[in-house]
Amino acid sequence: MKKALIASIVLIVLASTVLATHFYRTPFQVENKGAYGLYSGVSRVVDYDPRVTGYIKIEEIVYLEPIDGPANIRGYSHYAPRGTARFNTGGSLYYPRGQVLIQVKDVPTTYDSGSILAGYLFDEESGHALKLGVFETRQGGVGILQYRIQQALDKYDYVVITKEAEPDHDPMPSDDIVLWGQITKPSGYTEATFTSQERLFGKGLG
Amino acid sequence: MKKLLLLGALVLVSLMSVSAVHIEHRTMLLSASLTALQGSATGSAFVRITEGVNPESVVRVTTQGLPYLGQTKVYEAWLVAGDYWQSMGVFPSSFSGQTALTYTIADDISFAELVVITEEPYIDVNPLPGKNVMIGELAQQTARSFRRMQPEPIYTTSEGSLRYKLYSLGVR
Repeated sequence: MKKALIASIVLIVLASTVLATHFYRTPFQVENKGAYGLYSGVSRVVDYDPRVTGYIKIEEIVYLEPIDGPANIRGYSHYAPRGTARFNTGGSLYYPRGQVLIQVKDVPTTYDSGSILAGYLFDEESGHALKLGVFETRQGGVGILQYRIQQALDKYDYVVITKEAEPDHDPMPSDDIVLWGQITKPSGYTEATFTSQERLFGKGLG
Repeated sequence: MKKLLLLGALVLVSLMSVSAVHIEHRTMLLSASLTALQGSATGSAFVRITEGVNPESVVRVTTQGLPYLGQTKVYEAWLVAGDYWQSMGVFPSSFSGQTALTYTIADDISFAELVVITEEPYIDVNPLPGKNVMIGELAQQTARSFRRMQPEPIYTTSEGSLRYKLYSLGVR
């Protein structure tokens, strides 16, 4: 009888862990509902801009594709040029950071064609292009470009790869766009607006 | 004896190919003395450009005496060539006035003519340059560098043709 009692107590204690895992909530899992069932706190502010607390943080993989779309309309070719750009930006006043890692595949090789590929970030509003550097593609159309800067890069909208003449003495991007991809901004992000004077001369030069 | 001769020739050829690779990757050094447009701040910029198949450029900008801007504004360094402004990053002001910035890019930036430092808001949604604070003209350091490329730049306007290409293809 005593043994049965001890066994049942042990069984109840063990079973209680199942109930605990089902019903237990950590202090961070609080239902954010006010007296009237409405969301309260920061989450109820629908136009909250994360930049009020510092540089906005974006960690995203941008898929790059030809600007005219895949060549084969009946299906995506296995050998169509493609690529990815790992876009990472954020930081604080003292440690702003921006990183872009571009990797491409099946882009026509450039090492023997007298041309070179250049990566750019492009801001649609101002028309400003930031050069990320140049790189070559070799067998398999494989190329890689890494870029780091002590600056937040959230203001840019597109990752663009262009084909440039080699040697490339013109820092501006050429018209020959090989791949491009759009950077998706987080919700609540406010784009800057510019006057025509700012577009032409910058903010402080006019 | 014949084998030794062949071996020597082989070593010679391999050494020549190694030296050819070294010749291809030449280094160019540029420097600029930065002067303030207002005030007495001074600064310098040193550029090391490695030419070749995989070009790389490193820029080191240092300043002394730049005024403290608080936590609402920062300084931004630029490479300028014609209408083109290439940002090199931002750096906060300091009480001591001494600031430094290092910038690395996988590109040959021998096109750059000026180094400019501007004043920008801390949260800057505009990629265009702000108010100019310091400026310096890049010149070749003849003592250690090989040559300065003399390109014939074909600068397009600041509007850029890429934007119109995107628009013409319906990219929004």
